Amino acid sequence: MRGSVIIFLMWISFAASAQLYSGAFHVGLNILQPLSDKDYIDKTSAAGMRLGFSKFVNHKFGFGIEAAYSTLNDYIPRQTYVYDGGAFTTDFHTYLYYFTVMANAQYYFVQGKRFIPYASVGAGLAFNQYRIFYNVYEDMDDNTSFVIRPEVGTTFRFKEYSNFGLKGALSYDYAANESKYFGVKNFSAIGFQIGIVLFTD
Amino acid sequence: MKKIGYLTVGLMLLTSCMREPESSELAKYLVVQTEYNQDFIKPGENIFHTYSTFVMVDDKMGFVSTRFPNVEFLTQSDYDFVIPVLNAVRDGFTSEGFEKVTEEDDPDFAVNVVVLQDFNFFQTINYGYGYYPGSYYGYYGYYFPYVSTYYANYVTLLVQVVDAKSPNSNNEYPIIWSAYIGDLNYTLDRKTSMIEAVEQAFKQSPYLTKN
Repeated sequence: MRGSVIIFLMWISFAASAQLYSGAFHVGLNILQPLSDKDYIDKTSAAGMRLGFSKFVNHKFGFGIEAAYSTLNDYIPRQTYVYDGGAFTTDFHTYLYYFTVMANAQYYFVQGKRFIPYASVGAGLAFNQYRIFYNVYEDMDDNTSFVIRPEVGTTFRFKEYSNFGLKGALSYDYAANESKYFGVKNFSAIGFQIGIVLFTD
Repeated sequence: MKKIGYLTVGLMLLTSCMREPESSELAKYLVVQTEYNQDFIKPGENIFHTYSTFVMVDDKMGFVSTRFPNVEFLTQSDYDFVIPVLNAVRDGFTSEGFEKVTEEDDPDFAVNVVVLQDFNFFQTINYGYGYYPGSYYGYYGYYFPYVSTYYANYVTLLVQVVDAKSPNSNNEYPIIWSAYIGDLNYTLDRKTSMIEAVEQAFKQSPYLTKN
């Protein structure tokens, strides 16, 4: 009997939260640590943002869209590159401008009064622009490819069922991008997101 | 309406993440590119091993500009780097066992030092080697092996070695070594950086020696 009461109260709680809000905007800082082509860029980037909207289908599932942008960069100290017929000495500032747009499906482990832990998987397009700067000169290559992003995270409300909260998430990006010009391929990275969430009716 | 506002603010935040390196970071070092003529320097054969003497102008630099077509030379009174850089070039060759002589002494090769303005060399590596038509020495009638077609405000120091002993049937003298150093406008402490870059050009060209 006691168990049934608890289940009933939980059902009331889910129903209430589902009725209160039908979706949520989020915007946040995105920190990326590249896992691939570390010769090109190995440095963690905090120059990134993520912006998205999620629609709650019920208390367990939702879907959404998201755009993200990050600038990753690194520095290769001055050295000499020897090639057939000559040599080239310079230092390089290597940059990757990484922009993604994707749709995602979300699973909510529980819709609590304050916490909504979730897992999601997103898929879409990644636009990678590789640029190297050396003195006044620069070379560039860009391409578009498929990207997939599994993610786990949680939202946290400051007050019970309030429409404002925080979000933290850990994700993995795999993009099939390849730049033959710079000899890099299949960009992958671990991402950490922290941001704000605005629940909407 | 509120949703559109959120999206607008979010997109502005996204674009704010676009960054480029600071100018001061980029201006630290000159880029040094050297190339040799593979018809004259190849495994088991190096024309520099057979040569001993060279000639070069050591009191002024050639100047080629699309913006100032009437200026042909740079002198020390115009720019404080002219004589120190010419000395660095001369010392680079003499320290590798070559002797500087006059034109009347029938030198083996000539060294031409020119500042190029508004030409873009670093973007294209694999251009063919050119020739100096009719004369191996001096700055008139200069023939560029490659010139970019678009405008770029670059200033490059070009050091070229012209073979004085091997004119072809059209009396053209082949270029056997080139060093491109840039950008002179952009780099901090220009004189010191140019001297260091000239030394680097020799360092990354170990075949450029009499021995």
